[in-house]
Order: sequence, then C-alpha cells, then structure tokens
Amino acid sequence: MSIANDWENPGLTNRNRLAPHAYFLGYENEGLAATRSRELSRGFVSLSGPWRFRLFPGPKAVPDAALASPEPGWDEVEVPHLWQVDGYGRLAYTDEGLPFPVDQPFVPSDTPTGVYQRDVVLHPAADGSREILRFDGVESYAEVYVNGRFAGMTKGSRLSAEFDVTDLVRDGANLFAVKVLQYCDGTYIEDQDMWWASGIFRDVYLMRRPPARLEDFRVRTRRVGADAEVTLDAVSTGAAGLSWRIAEPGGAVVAQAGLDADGHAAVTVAGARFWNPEDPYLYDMTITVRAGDGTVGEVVPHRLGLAEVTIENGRILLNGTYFKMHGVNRHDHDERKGRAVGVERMRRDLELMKRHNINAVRTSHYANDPRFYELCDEYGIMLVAETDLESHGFEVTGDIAAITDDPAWRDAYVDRIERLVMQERNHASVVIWSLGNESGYGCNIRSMAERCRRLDPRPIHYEEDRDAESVDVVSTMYSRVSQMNDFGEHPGPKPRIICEYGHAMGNGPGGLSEYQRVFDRWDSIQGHFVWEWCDHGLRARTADGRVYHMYGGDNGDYPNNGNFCIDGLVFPWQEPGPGLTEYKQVICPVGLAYDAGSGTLTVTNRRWFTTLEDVLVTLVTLVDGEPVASTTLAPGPVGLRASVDLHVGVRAAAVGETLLTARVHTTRATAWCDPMHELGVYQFPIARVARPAVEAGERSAVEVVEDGMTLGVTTADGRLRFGLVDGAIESWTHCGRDVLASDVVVGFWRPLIDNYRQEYDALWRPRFIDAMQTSTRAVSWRRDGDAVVVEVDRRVAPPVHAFGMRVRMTYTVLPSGRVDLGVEGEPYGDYHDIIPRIGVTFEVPGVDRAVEWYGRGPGENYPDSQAACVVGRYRDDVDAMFTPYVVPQDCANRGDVRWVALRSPHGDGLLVTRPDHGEFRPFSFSAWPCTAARIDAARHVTDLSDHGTVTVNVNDRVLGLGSNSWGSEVLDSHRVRFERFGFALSLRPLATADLDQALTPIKEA
Amino acid sequence: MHVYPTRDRFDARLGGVRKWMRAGRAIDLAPTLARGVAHSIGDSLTYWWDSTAALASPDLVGHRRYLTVLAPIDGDMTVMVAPKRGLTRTEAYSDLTDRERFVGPAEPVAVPRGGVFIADIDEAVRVSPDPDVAATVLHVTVEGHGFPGK
Repeated sequence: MSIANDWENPGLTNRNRLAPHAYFLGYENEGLAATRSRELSRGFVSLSGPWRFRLFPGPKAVPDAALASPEPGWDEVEVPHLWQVDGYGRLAYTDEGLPFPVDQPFVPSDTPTGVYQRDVVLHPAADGSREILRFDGVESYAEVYVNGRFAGMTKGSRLSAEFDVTDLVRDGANLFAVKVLQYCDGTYIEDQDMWWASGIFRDVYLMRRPPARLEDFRVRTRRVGADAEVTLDAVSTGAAGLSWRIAEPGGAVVAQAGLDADGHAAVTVAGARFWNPEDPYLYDMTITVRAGDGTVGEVVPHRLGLAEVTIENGRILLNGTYFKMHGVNRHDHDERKGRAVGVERMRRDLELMKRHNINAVRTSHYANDPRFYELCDEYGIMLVAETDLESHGFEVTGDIAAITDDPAWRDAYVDRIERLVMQERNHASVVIWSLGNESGYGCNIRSMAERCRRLDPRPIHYEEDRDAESVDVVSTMYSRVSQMNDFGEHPGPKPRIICEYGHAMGNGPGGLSEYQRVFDRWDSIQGHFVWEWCDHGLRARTADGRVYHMYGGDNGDYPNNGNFCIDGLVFPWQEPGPGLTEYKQVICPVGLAYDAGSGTLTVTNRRWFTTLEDVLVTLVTLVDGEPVASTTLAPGPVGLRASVDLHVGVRAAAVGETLLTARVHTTRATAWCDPMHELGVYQFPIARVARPAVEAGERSAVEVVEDGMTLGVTTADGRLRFGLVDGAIESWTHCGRDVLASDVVVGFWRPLIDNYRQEYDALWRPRFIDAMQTSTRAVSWRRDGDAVVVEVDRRVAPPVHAFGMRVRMTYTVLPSGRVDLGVEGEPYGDYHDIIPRIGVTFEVPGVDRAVEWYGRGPGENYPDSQAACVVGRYRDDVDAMFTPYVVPQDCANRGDVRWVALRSPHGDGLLVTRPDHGEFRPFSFSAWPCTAARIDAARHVTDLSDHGTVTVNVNDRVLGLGSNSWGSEVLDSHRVRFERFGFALSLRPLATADLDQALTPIKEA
Repeated sequence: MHVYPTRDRFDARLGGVRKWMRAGRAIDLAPTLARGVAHSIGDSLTYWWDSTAALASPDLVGHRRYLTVLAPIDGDMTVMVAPKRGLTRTEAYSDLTDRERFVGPAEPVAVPRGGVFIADIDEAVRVSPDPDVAATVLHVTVEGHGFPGK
C-alpha cells in the first residue's frame, strides 16, 4: 500500500512550518517590553476566541470551499477548545489501547475532521515585517489556509508551530481556515493515558516580526563560586547590532554587553543570586535589536534564572548543590475544558503544588503551553520536561517498540525533542529533559537522545532505557518500596529517579511514608513523581441538573478504560484530595523528632537550598485532646541538611493522655502563600495514665423480661430488646429516643476502592468476600451481678465456598445503660489471605449526624496514609466527612480513635469507646449517609442518595490503601488477614451534650 | 525451596509465567552488567550480580513480598536454607527493605553452575561465601499469574 496522504506519512513532519526556536515576544521599546504582556507585543493579534466550526466525517469529506470561502452558517466555537468536549463527535477514553485498528501509519479514513474559519482584519506593514501565525497546540494534524491558499501543515499536537503568512495576507479582511484531523500518523506516538479529543486546544495568534529582529537566542549559566558566567548566543535578521542587559527586577543593571558579529556575548554577574526552587529569583534580561538606521528594531525580554545543572560523581547538582525532586506527574486538565487549560488554571496548579511542598513536575507526557515553563521559573518548580511522545498502544499488540525501533519513524521522533528543547532551553526550571513515555526502546530513542544532547547539556531521562544506555538519569516506574531500597543499596554510576509511583486513583495512595523513608535514605535517588496530579473527570449534569464527572464509557465509547483516568491527588474541580494532604506531610521540608526522655526537639532542615531562618515551630500540649499549653520556637538559620536540638519542657498530665503536637510554619510571604503558612505537622506521645474509675451512686440492677422470642432488658433510662432467634438488637431506646437504627453486625468488607481492584479480581470476587452472609447459630443470656450478658454465635461466610468465620458477640448490658460488646472470631476453611477490615457495622438515626471524635483527624486517614493527621479532638458532620471521590468508594475513615460520638444537634446520641480498663487499643471508624451496598453500586456521586439513617463502621483493624490500582500492593505491615481475632467496644447512649460524664470510667456491675 | 539444576529445567517448569520469563532474562543479562548494580525488569523483579563472598550475610535473611532467587554464574554455590518458623528472629521485618533476619539451624543446599535456586517465602537463606563464585541474586515478586504491573 503506498502512502498517499500527508497525515499518514511519518517521514513528513510538516510543510512550511518555521524552524523551532526559543519562545519569546518582541516589543517596540523597553517600556512595553517591561510589561511582558502578549497583547502589547509587536503586532500581536490574538486569534483565540470565536471561530466558525464544522465537523466533517473524514479529511476527504472536506470540500475545497470550506477552506477558501466564508461559511457564515456554521456553528461558532470558542478557541481554545477540544471539539468533543463542546459536543462535536464523541469523547472517548483509553489508557494505552488505540481507539482504531493498529495499522501504522494508517488511520481511519473517517477520522473526524474539523474545519475552523475566522475572519481577521489586518493592515500588514510594507516595511519588510513578517506576519507569523503561531499555534501553541493543535491536535493532531492541522493544515492552515489563508485566503484560500495553503500556508502549511503541522503535526505534534502539543508542540508549538509557526507559519510565515506574510505573503498570504492582505490589507483588510482575511479568511483564516484550519483543517484539523483527530488522528494522523502522529497519533501512534501520541497515545498518552488521557481523553481522545482534538481541536485547536491552545492559544493561536499572529505576531508581526520587524525587519530587524531576533530569530532565536540561547542563554546559559555557569556557576563559578559566587559568580555566574552567563553567555548569550543569538540569531537575528536585518540587525545592525544587538545589545544585552541583565538587571535586578525593576532595578540596577548587573551586567550588559553588546553581541559580537557571531551573535555571542559573555558577562559575569558578580555575587549572583542563583535560581533554585526555594528561592526562584529571576533577573530581568533584555535583548535589544537595532536596525541599520540606529533605531530599535525590537526589545525582547526574558526573565532569567541563573541556574546550572551538572552531574558530578553520579549526582545531579543544581548550581553545585545536591537536591531531590519531590514531584508529581501533571497532565493538562480542566473539568470544563479538558486539555484546553487556561493560564490561570496552570497558575493555581502551581500554587497548590507549592502549598503542598511539591518542588518538581514531570510534564507527563508532552510539552506544555510555553507560559507554563515561565510560571515554573517564577514559582520555583523544577521540571522533568518531557516531550510529546508515547507509543503505548503497541504494547497491546505485542511489541511496544514496534515503531520506536523503526528508522522510518526517526524524523517523527527527533522532531519532537528538537522542538521542545529549542523552545524551552532558556528556562531555569528545566532540570532534566525527558524523551517521552512508555514507547519501548530502540534506535529512535537513541537518535532523540543524541539530538537533545547536541542542543542542550542538561541531563536526559527516558524510563524505558532502563539500563541507561542513552540517558543520563536512570528511571523506573511503580517500583515498590523495597525495590527502591534495592536500587539504593546497589547504586549505579548514574543518578536515579522513579518517574511514576503512588498511583492516586480514588482513595489513596497509601504507603507514601515508607517510600519517602527509602528515598530519603539514598542520595542516588534524586526524584520521585506521584502519578498523577489531577483527576481527568469532565464535568457533566444529570437530566435533573445534578453535577457529576465523566470518565471512560460515559459517552458510549467502547472500548474504554473506565475510571483509570480518575487517578489524581487533586479532584477535577481543583481541590486537594486526601492523598495530596498526605503527600504534603510526607515531603515536609522541616523534619522534627522529639526525645521525651531528654526533652529534646530535633529540628532538621530538609530543604536543599535555603536555611530555616523563616521557620517557626508551634508546640501545643494536649491532654486527652484538649490544648493545655503552647509555645513557639524559632530554630534559626539551620544549614542545609543540618539539624539543631532545642530543649522543650513538656509537662505530662497526672492522669489522661498527654501528646505534643508541633506545627511548622514559614513566616515568609510569597506568591503562593501568606505568612504563617503551615508546612507540616508532627505529633509525639508524652505520657498516658489511665483515669481511675469513680464510684457511681447506687443504681438499680438491670431488669430482664423474656417472652420466648425476645429478651427485653431495662436499665435506668434505657430499654433494649434482643431477638432470641437471630440475636439481633431489635430496638434500643434511651431517655425515650432511639440509640440505634439497626442491629450490630460483624463485617469484613468495605466498599471497593480502586486501589484494591487487583485483590478484588484475584482474591475477593472469586470467593464472594463482598457477599458474605450472616447466620445466627445460637443465642443465650445470663445475669452477671447487676448486669445482663447476651451471647450471640454467628457464622459469617460467603456463599459457594467452605470457609468463613465463626463469631461470638457478647453484649454486657450494664446498670448505667452502657453496653459493652465483645467480638471474637475463629476462622474455618482454607482462606487466610487479606480482607478489607475486621469490625462491626450498625446504623444510628439520621438525626445523629454530628460527629465528634478523639483520634486522628481532621481528614480521612488509613493505616498507611495518616502522616498528615494527628490525634486530636475534632468535630465534623457525616455529610461533610464523606469524600466526594468521582467514583464513590470507601472513604471517611478515621484511625487511632479513642472515642467517637454521633449525636443530634442537641447533643444526645451514641458514644463508642473501648470498654473501661481494657488495654489501650485505638480503633477506626467511618460514618456515611448511605450504605456500603449503595456506595459499591454507584458509578458516580449522583448515584448516591441519603439512606435516612447513618451507617457507622467501627473497625478493630483496617487494611491499608496501597496504590495497586497500578503499583504497590499494600505493604506487609498494613495487611489485615482473615484470621482469628478478638476486640471489645463500649456503646454508651448519650442523653446530654456532656461527653465528659459519658467518658468517665465508673465502677458498676 | 526449589533448585533447578539447569536453565532448561527452570524454563520448562516456569517459563510460561511472565515474572519467571523475566527472571530468566535477568539471569542472562546480569553478567553483562556492572557488578553490584541493581537493575530491574518491569516491576516484577530487581537483580544484580556479585561474588558469593559479597552476597554472604552473617544472618539468615527472609522476605515476605519478594522471593529470593540465586543463580551461580561461574561455579557451583552453596546456600544455607531454613524454614523461618524454626528460627529466632534477630531483626524485625521492615517494609522498607522487605527483610527480616534470623539465626538458627539451616541446611546447606548446593546450586550447580547454570542452575537456579528459589527460596519459598516462608524460608530464610544465607549465601555461603565458600565457594567464592559469581552469582546473580534476584528479588522476584510473590504476586502470582495475575500480576498486572508493568
């Protein structure tokens, strides 16, 4: 089959596209240049905004007239956009599989093809200026026509493309038309894990380039002691001379020079303030181009960060200093616009990252809007700057390197790294170049590395060159905690990063603390990047107007990978999820340790470039969760990776639990935080002395009435009725109100979280762990002093199989009205592997939605995701505690709980604790406005409805989260197995808002 | 504990399972790589090679999430093996290293050059420094056939 079409020819990367160069704007004078405003740059005409649009059923279905004649009857769309998001064609989502038959380089003949038209009034100058049309992103193939004449063609969706349209435009109205194909040969190497959607998705604009102009420049820094040797190499047209100036922001000039005939200059900035992510200082740099008549051709501004990246002795250094990248993988995504993100969304992303201690981003897996790199310079984010490349679809067909190792595709591959590096190499924030993602390894990767290295000296990364033949930084993804330790114990000659881990799909990831302890242990590991920053959910509404977020399959797309794209630390609506809160603490730049014996607080600087002179540590002493004392310490200018010991006197309470909570703040005001921003929180146990039980006044013994089928038990203010057939608590009232709204049942299941999918498929679903049945085998009761004891023997087991748990529930009804519950389980059969939990579930009346607890909080936490949540006394309500994961799943757990109360607004309700005088053994709880079954059945939040009662899970043990939606299984220490167990709880009805009286240990029975 | 006296026997028994196919690849690749430098294939396994003298440890070492696999390169090696339940733990298990250490009686197991030794997950092992030969050590996930990772 011969290649007939430009969009099916990988050897053809473009027609008439201008050579790649540094991204910059030119201005008529210095004043305008100082604004750095696109709109004020020379001859800038924004073409973002309304365009006429029509979708055709294939490239060959587009009539010539559509590209040459105005079509006023077409729809109007707002560019930048993705047309599928706007309702044209069908949205589809797959992870790696291509959405059409794999037959490279061919794509479907009916590939959706959109044509855009826009009328542009221009008054071109006749002075030799050039009109340049620039696209910062068109997916995936674009032909450009001006006044019906072909201007050029480009591929490489997320890379900028420029065309010189000077000879095509005329004075007055001009018709710009762009024909865009959803798929082309380039799609085979743009198979990233994201929505299949297309269009002009980044800004498009015209720039008028003057006769004497800059074409390209490259600025490089070399650190020499405290000074920076800076060189500039520039390419110009029509220039009689170029001058270069570096100044402090809005202030004094620190260096200046004229460029020689070769366009080269070198200066020294003495006592330079080098750029780093903790002090992202940017100098104002300008290049002034002078025309032959001495007038200013243009002034080109650039915000210059003085940064030099080197590798010495197998370690990456920034300005000679060792560092680690605490990063995330970031896709462009907006809940309303998809990949057509605006600059303000980018800015908010970076501010959120900085507020969460993140210092690095991998631009997975494509080049970003050029302004993103500027923002990273400004905010202080180090970049693994990845280009637009992924051929993952070939993994499904058996050879992921099928085209990566095919020389016919060499130009297409090399083009992509060349365009990225040429455009962004002047940015201080770029620490590493990345050749792409998950495309196998082969000759084209070697060619890319070679080209990249020729263009810029910074280190090169590509994960699938696992033995680092071509790259400078060896990399893996999803290596487990102990595997990373293996790498650390047995390092190679090159630095290492883990470019993806901690798959943040739904509830999770768990295990970040353990990962971090390994990363921190080994200097050879210099970066770690959680997958990923943001859920890719797209906002939609049900027929009755309720908001939910779409994922694969929601648009009739088939095949699809469902919610595999809902895997971010940040919700689609750009609010942090619990995983981001956890990550912030895990990478807190200030470490604290406390030695209670000596009263020494050790403060460690975990920053890489700056001291702790801006840091304050506030210490709060808590007794039983209530603050009783506080103080604030300033560790001072603690050096890099150094520690200081501070003496802290903490007085332990005579009775009760004493804890020391330490909150770390920065006093510094920045672009992303106000002074006293919290960097992290730690907590240290000081002492725990059990409160003695008090003698209660005389109480009546519990009264019992048995009628054969039920057992009525009466206490001072309460009444319980047990079923003597099924052992259920049929009712429990106290002071005239219901305490429970259901029986108490033993449970091992939690609504499935995405990170348990592998366990579900391999272990739980085949054994129906999610469908266990409870059968009561025996019920008996007896008096025990003034108390009554009811014993219920049950079997909790799945259908079909011959294993299960034999459970004994022992209720002790005490004269005070408290009910102590002991639960013991003995497994039978051949299943001993992991289960989601061991605990009990019951319902309380719907009015009891106010929750107060003494345990970890305020946010949800699990055994392997609790670093950010310290023990305290918290209040919340059931609805607010329910985390709105895009796909509903288990949530809202609070661990290390000493007690929890679920109460009405009046304060009455139920208190759950361990029994008095038992061992100190905190538990977990969660409380939901709906049932586990309803959560399991829901695909979107709009499938949930209020059950009327509150479901309460009180768990003795909860399985950790792990991140095995794609990655780490739950670590061994956080595993819960189907094995013998025993625990006890105390259920205490609350008649008043006085929790203290309900918590007081009393002697009774 | 399993000892496959030859690669052919290893391949015939386990070669149809992805993680063991990868283990075979790693055993082939290891001698071509720098000594003592850990590599990985997918996220199924890590591996490196060194002398038995360097791989030897004073204690018996056990794992819970990764199987210890040993493959002598240029001579026969000896591995001391014992069920964990018969040993005394000297170092608590760590999620960070997937390692726990024991002391106690262990049996020597000979692994011929070109053969493959696989410890069961309930066993602890100690590489004997004598004879001093080159050997590849692999940590292979305990996850089974359904292992979905890369």
